[in-house]
Amino acid sequence: MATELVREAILGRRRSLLWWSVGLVALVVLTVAFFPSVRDSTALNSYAEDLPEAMRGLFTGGETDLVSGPGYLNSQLFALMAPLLVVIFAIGYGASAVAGEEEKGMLELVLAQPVSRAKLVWARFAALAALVAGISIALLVAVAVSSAVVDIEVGLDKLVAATGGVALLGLLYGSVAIAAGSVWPGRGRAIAVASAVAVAAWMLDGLGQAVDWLDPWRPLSPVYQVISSNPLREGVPWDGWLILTAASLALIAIAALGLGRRDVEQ
Amino acid sequence: MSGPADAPAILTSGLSKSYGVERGIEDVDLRVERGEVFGFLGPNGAGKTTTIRLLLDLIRPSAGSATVCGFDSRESIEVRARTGYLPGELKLPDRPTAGHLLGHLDRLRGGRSKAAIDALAERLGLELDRRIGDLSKGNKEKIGVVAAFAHDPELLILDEPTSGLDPLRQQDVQDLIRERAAAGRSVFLSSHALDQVEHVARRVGIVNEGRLVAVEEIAALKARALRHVTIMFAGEPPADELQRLPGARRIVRKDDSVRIEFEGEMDGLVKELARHRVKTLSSEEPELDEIFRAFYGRDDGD
Repeated sequence: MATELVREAILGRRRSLLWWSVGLVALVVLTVAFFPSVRDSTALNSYAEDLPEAMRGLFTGGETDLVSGPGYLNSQLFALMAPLLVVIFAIGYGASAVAGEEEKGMLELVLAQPVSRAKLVWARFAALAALVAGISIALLVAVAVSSAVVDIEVGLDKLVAATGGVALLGLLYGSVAIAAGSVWPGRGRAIAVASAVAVAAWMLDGLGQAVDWLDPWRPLSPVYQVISSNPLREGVPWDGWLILTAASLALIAIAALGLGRRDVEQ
Repeated sequence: MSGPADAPAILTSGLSKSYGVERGIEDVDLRVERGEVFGFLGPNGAGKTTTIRLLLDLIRPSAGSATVCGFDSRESIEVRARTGYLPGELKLPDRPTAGHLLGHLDRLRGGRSKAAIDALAERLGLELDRRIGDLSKGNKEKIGVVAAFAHDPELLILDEPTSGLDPLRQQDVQDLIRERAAAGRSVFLSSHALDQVEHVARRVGIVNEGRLVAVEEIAALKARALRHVTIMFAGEPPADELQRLPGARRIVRKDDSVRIEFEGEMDGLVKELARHRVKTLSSEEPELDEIFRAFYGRDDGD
């Protein structure tokens, strides 16, 4: 029965997963295709160095070496665009998983069957994990293949480390959306809460690179935990992965409690 | 197979749900026996849906408790394993086909009702391979009916099951209800209209403004209800005599016709009419609010 809940949730999003993956792959291919034309230019590096530190922190992951392969991939894909797309996809699903289904009347039908609310929430989380894994694998494959084509030298283990960080951000913010939609009704509110958290965390980490008094708070940002350590060069930030996984599970535990305690809206 | 078999199908005690000043229910004590078809009547917004959703643990009581098939409503897995529920305001997703959605709901119960779903869909004329978004309101309602009936539950909880269905399909649903009742299942059937329940239910509960105001056998209810009788006479209507009849409430005369609001047994009226020449005679079934009025023995003065 739990597998049926997960299966149905994934099936319901398969088109969405496909199109988001296509979009993300297109972005990757286009971005990487430009690399050969910037590889031999130092202008891009001086441009990055001239950027105010805060801007560099927000939009290029603090990267200044934009013309090396990993530096290019990190600044152009993994620091902002890839997480952005994966997170939007994840929040979209997370908000619809409970609150959106509730607005469509599906929650009432499913909960008229012998399904506990906690089981429902955990099944939606499992589906979120599968969907995020799906789009992340598309990202990984697209980056690996296109990088090989243009001779960017980056190890597969490092690509996995960077992609894994993106996936965990998606899992976390998707879980925020599931939790918000479970504790309070309303798909719009779930999207708003999760987006606000994601943007705040991104700003905290980016601005923290430039603003001294913010710097000590950067570890609070999930972006700091899994992206800012530059996994394309440094490999998997295990602490960060553990923290984000644990935080996601904790959010879903809260979601199960929250949905368990409240009335289902009609 | 089931829980406490001798427990009533539904038993509520002081069941209350407040939504601030909005509709809710207050202190509802209800008992529905096993194997009974029970009508739950009240105007829209009286609290029927609230009561039903409390039974299924979709919403939680602010006071009181309910047991369904012997299980506390908060043991909702047990309750919902034994019940089939048709929501009053059925909302369905557009994208999947009817068959896909019904298959999904069935698999959440272990997937044992595939044949029953096909048979019910065939009987109700529901096309399972159509996208739900392309179906008419009546056909969507059939999906809800199939979902509620397919697993042959011990207790059917049907919230306005015939709303949105054409009269022919209403008949189908009433037949289904009768069949399940004959097989010993219990049915809790809400409606705002007496004629939707009177042919299947023996007893009804009446809710008004969140309170259960009466539980009666339908026969007793109708006997006490007001009826509108319109008589056209061939000549001067005997208005004064009619007014004096026991049971006659209000008489409106127009030319040769008389319209009487009549309560209770009609024997006196018929005997009085027999002394005159009557051209036409018609009697309208009482509306629910008129039954209410008869119940409280008061008139809203309209």
